[in-house]
Amino acid sequence: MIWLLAFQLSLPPQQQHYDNAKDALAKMQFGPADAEVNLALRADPNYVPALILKARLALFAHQPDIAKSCLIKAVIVDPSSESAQFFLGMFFYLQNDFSLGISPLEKARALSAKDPLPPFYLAMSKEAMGDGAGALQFYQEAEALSPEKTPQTASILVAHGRLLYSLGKFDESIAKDQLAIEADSQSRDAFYERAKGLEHQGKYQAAVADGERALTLPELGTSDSQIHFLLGNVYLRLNQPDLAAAHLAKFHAAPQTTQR
Amino acid sequence: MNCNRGKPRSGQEKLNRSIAILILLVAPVWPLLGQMPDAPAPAKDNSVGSRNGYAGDEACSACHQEKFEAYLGSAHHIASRLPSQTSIDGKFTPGSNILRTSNPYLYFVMSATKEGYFQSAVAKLPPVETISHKERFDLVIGSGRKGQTYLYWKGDELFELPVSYWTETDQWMNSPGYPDGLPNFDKPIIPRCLECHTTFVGSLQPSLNRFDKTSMVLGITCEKCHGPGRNHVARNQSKIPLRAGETEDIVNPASLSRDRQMDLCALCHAGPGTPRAPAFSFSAGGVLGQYLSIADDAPDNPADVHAHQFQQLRSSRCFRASNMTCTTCHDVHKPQRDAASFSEHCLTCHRVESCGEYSTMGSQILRSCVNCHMPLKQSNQIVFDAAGSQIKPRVRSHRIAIYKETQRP
Repeated sequence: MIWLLAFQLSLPPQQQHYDNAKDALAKMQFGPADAEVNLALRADPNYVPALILKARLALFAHQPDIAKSCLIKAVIVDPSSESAQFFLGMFFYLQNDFSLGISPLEKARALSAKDPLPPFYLAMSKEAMGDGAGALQFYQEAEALSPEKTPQTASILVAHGRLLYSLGKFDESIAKDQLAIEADSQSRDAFYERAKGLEHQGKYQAAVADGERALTLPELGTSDSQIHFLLGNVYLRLNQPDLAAAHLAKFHAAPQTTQR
Repeated sequence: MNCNRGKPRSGQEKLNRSIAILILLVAPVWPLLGQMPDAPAPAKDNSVGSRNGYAGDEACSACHQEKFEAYLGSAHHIASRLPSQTSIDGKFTPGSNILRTSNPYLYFVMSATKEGYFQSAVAKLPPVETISHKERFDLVIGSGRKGQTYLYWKGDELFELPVSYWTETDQWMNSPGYPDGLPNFDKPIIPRCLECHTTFVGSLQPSLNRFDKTSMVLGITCEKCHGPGRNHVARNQSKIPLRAGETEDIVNPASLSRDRQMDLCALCHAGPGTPRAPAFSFSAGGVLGQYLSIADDAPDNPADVHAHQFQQLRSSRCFRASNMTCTTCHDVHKPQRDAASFSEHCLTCHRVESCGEYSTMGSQILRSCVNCHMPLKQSNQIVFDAAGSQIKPRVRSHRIAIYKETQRP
């Protein structure tokens, strides 16, 4: 205990506060985490880990301006920080500034060639910019770097499958969704996307099963109203107008939002 | 005594917001901001912070079984309960156990396990990090007629859970007072909240939301309105008759003066007020003004429909022109759900033919007095921040009046 205390006291104050902030965040205490990260930055305004953490907290709290300024400062202070480059690229992607995100994501990819996240976000950025071929290449790279069966792998596979679906490659798309479900059996996105593919192939019963399963999963991403819309249409095709009407009513009752 | 002495103003405001939690029910409360003068002498042997003199519901049920059994179904009786499959109205089935928020990175999941019932806040921090915080449902507040909110213990400190249940829409809802889109679990429950949602709980010092769990008497039990009954039970069990000059050992609210009857209800139906004495020190038959300062129903600042029934009724002509009390219409010993059935009480003073609508609607208005003259009105005090919008529930107005805007039945 004494050694641990001595070790903690030997840490510079910015790192102590940063560690406290990380601990608070792990406990979901956003207020204390923000306070601690501010103390870390007061001790050292150029402390890159704290700048990145502050940016992430700001993103969660709908404060993109703060996030942006922290991340830009972080890459200026330390251009060799893979995390700073990646989070700046990811930030631009989340803000729909896809072209601005390419450069920092490329740098992050170069700095950490084994991390699947930079190519994953490069793939999504390329896809958003209409570069399907470039996107497929990065999706494959991200997939290859993420062999484990984890929610992160499932996210990559679902996004890859979604692109394949939009390119009309339904069998390949469903195969990706299947792999995603194997990687994360709680992936709402994966069940929804597979339901879409199955509907397109005329496999309505299977599509219904996936859609209904998706509705029960809490994951963020695919909204309830998207699933209700899909199920409403599939039940119509199955000649079950009551169920179709019930789902379409829920689709119409859902709050109108621009959020996906 | 000032419960908030020494706290900065911002802390008081935070407490202020925290009170909205228990607004789901019949008696919201407000923070204990005012100076409390010395507490009046406790009635009988009900010393503050203890349950001396109380006998418990079981003792009452032995002789008053019929009333007791009817009372079990009343909203008062289930104003607070332990969590169970039957006491929690919200659904735990997959798909119905999720509350999404206005924050695209945050949702709540309600789960029922062998270990108990839980609320979890799940935050997805981009790109892939997931963090969560889970707390147990430890207390259910609210009968479910309007909704329920839930509390959890952290040691001996009591807090509100961030997700409530709203009956009107049959869904989980962001708890009143909690900002939408944040995974907060930090709203403390102060004694004044529990004064109206439980029969008793002893406070621990120094924190305002620390309680002696073992002392908690859940629900509004018989002795909340009848006062401590141990002596009454003992006397009746020993069959010792009252001697000349002796008074009953139990309070019968019906025999109290009109003001004292109204005080008894106003303890929880006149808003949070400003405490002048510690919570739970008021006893049936006492003068409420010595314990609690109640806001008036000012013309420029009328009382909200929610939990200000006392002020609203008192400002009504019916109240001023008669000797009516709350129990003129309400029988607190049994559940009363049907608004139409209350009309018969109106007709003890009023003639249906005197209603302006009688000539066009005839006898069908016989059961519509309440709907027109005590309409459901939107509360400005209960506000749910939910998915980026605000929801204000409708509550029965207790200002008996002619409302121009109410529609015909």
